[in-house]
Amino acid sequence: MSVMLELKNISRSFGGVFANKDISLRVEEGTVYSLLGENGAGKSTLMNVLYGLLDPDSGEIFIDGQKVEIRSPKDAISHGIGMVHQHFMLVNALSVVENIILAMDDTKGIFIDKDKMSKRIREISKLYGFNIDPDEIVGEMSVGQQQRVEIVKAIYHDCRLLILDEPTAVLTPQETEELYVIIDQLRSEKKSVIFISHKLHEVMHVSNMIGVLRNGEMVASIKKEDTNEAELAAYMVGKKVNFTVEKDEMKAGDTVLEVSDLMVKSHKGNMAVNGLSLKVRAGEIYGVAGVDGNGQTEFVEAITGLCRAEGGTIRILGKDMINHEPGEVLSLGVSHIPEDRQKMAILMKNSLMENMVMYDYKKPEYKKGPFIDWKKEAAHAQDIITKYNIKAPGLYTNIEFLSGGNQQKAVVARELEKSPKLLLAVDPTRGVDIGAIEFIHKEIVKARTAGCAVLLVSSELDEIFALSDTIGVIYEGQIIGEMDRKDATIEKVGLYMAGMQDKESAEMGA
Amino acid sequence: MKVQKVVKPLLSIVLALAVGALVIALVGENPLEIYKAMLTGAFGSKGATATTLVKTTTMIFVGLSYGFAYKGGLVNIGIEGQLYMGGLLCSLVAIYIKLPSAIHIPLCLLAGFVGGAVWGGIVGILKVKFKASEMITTVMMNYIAIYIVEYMVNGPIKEPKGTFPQSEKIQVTAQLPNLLPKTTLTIGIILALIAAVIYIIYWKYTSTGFEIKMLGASRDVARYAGIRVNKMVMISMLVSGGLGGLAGCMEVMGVQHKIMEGLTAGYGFDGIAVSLLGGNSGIGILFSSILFGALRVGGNAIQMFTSLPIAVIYILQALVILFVVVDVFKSERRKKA
Amino acid sequence: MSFIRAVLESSTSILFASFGVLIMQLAGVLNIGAEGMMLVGAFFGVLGSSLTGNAFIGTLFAIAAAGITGVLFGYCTVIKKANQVVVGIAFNILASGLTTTLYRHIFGMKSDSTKVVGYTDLGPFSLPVYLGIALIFVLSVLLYKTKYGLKIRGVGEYPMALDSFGLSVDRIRFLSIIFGSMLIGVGGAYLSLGQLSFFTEDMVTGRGYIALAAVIFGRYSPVGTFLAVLVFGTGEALVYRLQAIGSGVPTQMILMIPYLLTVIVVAFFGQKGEGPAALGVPFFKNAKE
Repeated sequence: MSVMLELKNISRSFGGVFANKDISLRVEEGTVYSLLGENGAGKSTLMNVLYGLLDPDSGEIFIDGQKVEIRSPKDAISHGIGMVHQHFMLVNALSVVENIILAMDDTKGIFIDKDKMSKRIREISKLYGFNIDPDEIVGEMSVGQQQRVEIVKAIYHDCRLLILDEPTAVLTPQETEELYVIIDQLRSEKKSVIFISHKLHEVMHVSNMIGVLRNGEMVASIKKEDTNEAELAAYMVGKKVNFTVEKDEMKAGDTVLEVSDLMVKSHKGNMAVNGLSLKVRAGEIYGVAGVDGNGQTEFVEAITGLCRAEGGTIRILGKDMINHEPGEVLSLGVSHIPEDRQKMAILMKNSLMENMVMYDYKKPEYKKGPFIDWKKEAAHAQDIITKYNIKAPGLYTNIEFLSGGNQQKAVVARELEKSPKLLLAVDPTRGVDIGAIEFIHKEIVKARTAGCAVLLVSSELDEIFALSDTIGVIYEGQIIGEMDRKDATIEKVGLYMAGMQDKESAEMGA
Repeated sequence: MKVQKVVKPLLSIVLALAVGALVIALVGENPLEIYKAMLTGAFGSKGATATTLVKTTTMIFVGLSYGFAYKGGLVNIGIEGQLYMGGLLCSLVAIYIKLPSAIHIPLCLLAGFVGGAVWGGIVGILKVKFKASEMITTVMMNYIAIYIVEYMVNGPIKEPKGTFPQSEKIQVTAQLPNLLPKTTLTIGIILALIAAVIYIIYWKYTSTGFEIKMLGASRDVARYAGIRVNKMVMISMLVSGGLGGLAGCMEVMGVQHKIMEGLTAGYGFDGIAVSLLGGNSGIGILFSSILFGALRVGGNAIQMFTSLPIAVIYILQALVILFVVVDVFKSERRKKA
Repeated sequence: MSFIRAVLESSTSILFASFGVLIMQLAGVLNIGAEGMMLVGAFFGVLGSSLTGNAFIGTLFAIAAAGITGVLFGYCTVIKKANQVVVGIAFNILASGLTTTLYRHIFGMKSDSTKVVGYTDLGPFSLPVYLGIALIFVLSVLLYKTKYGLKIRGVGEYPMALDSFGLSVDRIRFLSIIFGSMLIGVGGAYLSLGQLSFFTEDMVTGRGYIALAAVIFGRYSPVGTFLAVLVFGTGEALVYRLQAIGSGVPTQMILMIPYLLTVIVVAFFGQKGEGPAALGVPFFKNAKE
């Protein structure tokens, strides 16, 4: 088999820090090359270089043995490289064919010729078993369908190598299975695929070759047959991964959070949360496992009052708290670590100090008469920073200059310092380095030991398994399987995540 | 950083004057002569400086008004209308009620504040309840306010004798006491300074100030932190409107001693320039107000003594705004780096 | 019939301006400065017309001047990525100052005595009225059936996608600003040459903002915008009618109608959710990940 793509010694840095250091790899025609690595390992940077969105500092790209210069996506496309980004490059308000017309950027003529393109779209669609209507508005399609439009777009350009960037992050388990079929079809068409992921079992399922990136360097490049998940994990992290956290037996108290038959609409209008019920007690960590997009976001936002609930009940500390103002919910002793800290939890252009004291300004102990006592606030902020070992240039530097890990630590610190009775933690270690992950996990366990009720929502099963006392699996807006951590196995949970809840699966895990 | 805060505005002024000079030359006048005439008109004598300070008084209030809304993330282009409505309510109290000065003056100020606040509050309600963009509604409210005042001074409150569209003179007890004899400078400037000080303290030391600033920085984060966003929007528009109303009071009680058509000559829009140039901070607004007050007075001077209309200062004003918000020297093209 | 004529006359200037605003908004550029651009068009239209005695050439002057204004606006908002609202307001103030200064300089101290040559009539209406209505169809075709239209709509919704296709977001926006500002200029020219037959300082009196409201009210479509403009045009024609009749209603209350109408329209129909998703947000090429 011929080598379709070769990258030689690709390096790229940002502000003195290497995102890619001397990376080389080879992809053979008709094979799947998986690029594995944690968040921040350099996968996206490498792909952006390949796709012409970034210039490398050094290194070369060879297609079919010929050296090429790729300076823009147009160049990449002309060499047969297509890319499906994590955030789809599709205009939601336009139809499929309109999107593809834009992507073709064919400057001949003034008027658009939908018929010719629609025909070809239907042809490609049929070949791969998609069911795409060229005139359908992209925004009204399911995420899985949208991804297929992206694939059609790439194939329309006669791509020979398709880069899939974290494609399963937004898919349901069925859609993921369907994606595997599509990849097989691409293989049989002699097309190559670069599959970017940080999910070990997927990579083991789908690859021919696996390359592992860690801290910007290629630390391993092996055939799938020659390795296993544990080995890959070790490569990714650099040491034997400790999937458990030290914690005592659970001493559960009264019910702090009680949710019954909760119904919440998503932005698109469908019922994202569709009759969800669960209970979290004081001193308990309840881990909600599930693929992104099964209603987790809407669920947590409904609890915090940030979005409207259409039905059901939410009780916090016995009080009926559905559809109340966020301020009221917080005042009951609720802390929230949201999934997107930059959007929701911190003000990037404000100082670290101001971000730390976001809740204190009303408390009488920080006031001097009617005015805020900034000296006391600063001292308090300094205490927190020291206690939680947050690395920052200074108390008054803007928080945007802290690393992602330290920003997250700051959020966690702030939320835990409130000594909450209920902690809502959503993907609390997303985009955070290993050292900070261990730290944050320890702090969450500390809070739980002190009697806090913790609702942990995470798309990382490892995290769920490491921290939870009770595990509930969310699927299509409901908790379809709930079990003690003692009784949980990856297979059992995985089946629930895939939507299966028959007797067999229950017996299997017992 | 601190140095940049001063250099940037100064640079904007210099650039504006430079481009303005080109325009002035284009219409056949000597820019240096014109600028000299403006400077003399504004500061050339004790009387001139006093007049400049009088205008500065109004500028401070409209500048604070824009700045206050801006901190909360709102764009209040309706200061003109708030000024008129504040001036109207103020003049009603000032003309038709008889009270001793010590009570009358504060009452008139309160009326002016309320007038402007209500006008701004309407915009706030429309935004909170209907998500109506405050940019369009404020401008429309300007025209409506101008027409309301026009109607009033041509009808119900028109001065009994005389033909001009204006009201009767306000009671002596409502007039702002003079500060400097033989000039038009009143204690208004003191009131403006007090307002600026309160503004500075408010943002630095009060909890609602902190909350409004958070809202202005990010609506999502403000909601997440439990801040009552709608309440903050209303406070912003009410206070911002009220400050605009007080500007109206300054004109009615300190300068004109009555209300009439054309109470302002676009002072509401001056407020935008004042606040932007001053970086929306109290100190910045104070300095910026002096500049724009001088610009107004200087502009009047050239209108009287040269062939140029006062509209020239609008050109300068607009150029200042543009040079403040448009970074002429920094390349905005993010390179692939 | 004469009332219909009055409505169309009042609507035409706003219609051209609205279409100009529509193109810009669809491309994602918020244009509060339409008021100033109309004023520029109005002044230069009169200038050209009085110099040559021909309204058509006057309109060309207006188009050129407004186009140049558009280039400057595009420079500030698209290339320099400054806040579109503040820039728009600055342009309004600038236009007011410039046109007044130039007017006094060129035409002297008389404020509205310049008699201008108007447009030729075709049947009951003047030529631009027909052009305005024709524009509804031309723009619809442009926006929905041509590549340019597709690019404009794409850039206003999700510019990052178009950027990834290799298209230049800035260029598309810049071009639509120039095209749009020229249309706005025509609107201004019609106001001074066609509807009113003179130039006076600050004569646009809010029509530029009403044009913006019309686009929102019309749900960002050419046909919708036209109907919305008719509503405002009717309001304005009503004003003249009521004044002429000498009804008991005070003048100022009548004059208020268009503005009050706009407030109500924006309040009940101004939901921001209807517009292009990327409206008002400058586009930065993100080159890091």
